[in-house]
Formats: sequence, C-alpha cells, structure tokens
Amino acid sequence: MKLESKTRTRFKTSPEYKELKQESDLFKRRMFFLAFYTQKLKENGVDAILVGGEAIDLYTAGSFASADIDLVVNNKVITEKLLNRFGFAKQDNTLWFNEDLNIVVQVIAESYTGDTEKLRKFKLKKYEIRVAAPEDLIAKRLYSMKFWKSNPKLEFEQSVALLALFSDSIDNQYLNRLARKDDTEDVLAEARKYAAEA
Amino acid sequence: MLSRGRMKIEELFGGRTRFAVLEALAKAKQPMTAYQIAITNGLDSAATYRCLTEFSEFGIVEPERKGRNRTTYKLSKGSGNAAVEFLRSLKQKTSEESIDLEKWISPEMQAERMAKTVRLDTKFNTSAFRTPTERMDIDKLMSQRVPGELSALIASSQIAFNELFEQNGNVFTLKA
Repeated sequence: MKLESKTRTRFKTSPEYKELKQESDLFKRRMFFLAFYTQKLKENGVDAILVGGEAIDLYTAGSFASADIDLVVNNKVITEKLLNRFGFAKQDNTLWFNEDLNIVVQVIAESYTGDTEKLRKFKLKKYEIRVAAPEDLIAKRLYSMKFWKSNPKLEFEQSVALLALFSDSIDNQYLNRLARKDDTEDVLAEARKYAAEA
Repeated sequence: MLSRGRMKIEELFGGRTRFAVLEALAKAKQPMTAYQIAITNGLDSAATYRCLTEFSEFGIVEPERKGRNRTTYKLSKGSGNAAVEFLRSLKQKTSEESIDLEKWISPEMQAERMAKTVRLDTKFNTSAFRTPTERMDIDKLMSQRVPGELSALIASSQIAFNELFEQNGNVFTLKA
C-alpha cells in the first residue's frame, strides 16, 4: 500500500473523520472540516485564510450557503498534498472535491489582498480559523457585482447582510477607502441603504 | 513551492497575477474570459479582471465583447507577443544552472531589472468600463424578493449566529 493511501485510510478511521461523517448539517460539517484542516495546515507551516462565499456563510451561520470553501494559502503544494491525504480528488487546477464528505475546496495560492490586521478568528473546539474581515468581503462582493456581474443579486444581498449584521463593529472608514479605490462607492451607498432598512 | 528564480520573474512583472495571466493567455488556444483565467489558475477573480483591464490599456491583450456581460481576452500580436517573449526569455535565463541567486538579489541586479521593468501599474481609468447603460438597476434586482424576505433572512442569520458563537472583539468562539 502506498504512503498516501495509508494516510487516507488513517484519516478515514480517525475520530475526526467519524465526527465529520456523523454531522448531517452540511454547514457544520464544512465548518468543522475547515477547522481541522487549517490546523493541519498550520502544523505543516502553512498559513490559511478563509475568504469568499464560505466566509460569508460562516458570518451568516449558513444562511447564504456557498458551494465551496475558498482558502488563500501561502503554500499550494503542501495544501494540495494534505487535501489528497484527506481523500480529496482534484477537479481542475484549483478545485478539490471529497465526494464522501460532500465538501469542495478551492485553493487560492495568492497573497491575501485584504487587511490581515482586520482578520477575524473563529474558535471551534480546539481549532482556530482565520477569516477575511466583513469589510474586505463586502468590498470584494460589491466589486464583483459591479464589474463582473456573475451573480449580482446574491453578491449584493450578501453585502447587505454583512453590513446589517456587523453594523455595530464595521470599520466604515476602511470600507469607504476600499470602495473609493474600487470605484464602488455608488453600490456601497445602495447596499447601506438596504442594510439600514433590513 | 515556487523557485526563488521564478519568484523574481513574478516580481518583475509586478506580481503573480500579471505573470500568471500572461502565461495563461500564451498557452490558451482560444480567447478566455477573466473568470476562466482566474478559476483555472487559482487567481483572485477581481485581481485578474483588474490586471486584464491594465493589459488592455497597454495594448498587451485584446478584449472582445461577447454578449452583454461576457468579454474574452487574447494576446495582442504586437505588445502581447512581445511581453510573452520577454517572459519566456526570463524563464530561460532563470532556469540556467549557472545563475547565481545571491547575485540575482543583489542591489545592483535589482536596479538593472528595475530599469528593464515594463511599468504596468499606472492608475487606470475605471470609468472607461462603466457606461450608463451597463449600470445595475439595484431596485429592480432586489424586487425579485418578496418584500421583507431579505430582512427576515438577515434577522434569522443573526439569531442563528448568536446561538452558535460568542463574540469577544474580533474573536468568535463556538458555544459548547
């Protein structure tokens, strides 16, 4: 038996895997997998930051479900090696899918473009996840909505939700700065209007 | 992990995105959308879009509008091919065994590289890409929801989140 295969078998018989399999709520399963996996990455010297839809999913407790987990990492090789060990199969250049757990991970081997000082931490049992700040997620969503128009309704609603949910703690000066830079001040103003009414 | 030599080429191009976008377009058999480039190369989609916008301004790539919201990009025959040639020659150079990395990172060589660097980071005018007809009608977009539906969803998120997590500054701890 090859080493990779042995490790996969070890993972499948581990208490963590059993716990993940038993979790019927996909939001919670993804959250616990993420916590466990980022801890393993950390042990292997890899920094990981949760960004994109799954980060919003976490902030909204699963109300705006995402199809995949977007992870910004500083070492693609180790990240992918670990995914492979945990039973994930490569779908294309960046997407990895574990059919058994029904979890998709997208590996983004880029520098984190948001402000690392503003990252939030989620502590789940003995694990910890670093997550992009709501301000950075809002800025990205509004930029994408305005210039990409891939799924403008969802992107706008996610921005409104984050603005409403974090109205007490959001750094508006920072968000305004991002919007000025991205030329999204108009859509940010609209999102704020909807958030105030929500 | 990328080799040190390759990292330097990326720096020369002003970051990994620019380097990867050029590489992707050089390999592509047909024009690609920004999204396709981003997703197949593990790049940030917004950064890829910005990069292609800059490349368009400098005539390195040629955008072609296909439908209302779809633009594909290909390398331009002049500047685009020249940029790729430049990239290939650098890759060849750094793959030579004789390259001295200490020398490569020396201030003298850095200065030499800087002198050769094609400046691509001048502020671009985003207004060129947002015409009044393209502006999103947000009220129309949001009218797809039943009145109060989004507010209810947000309120429900808030309740669910508070049930799951305890907040202490920037740290959220899962309740036992």
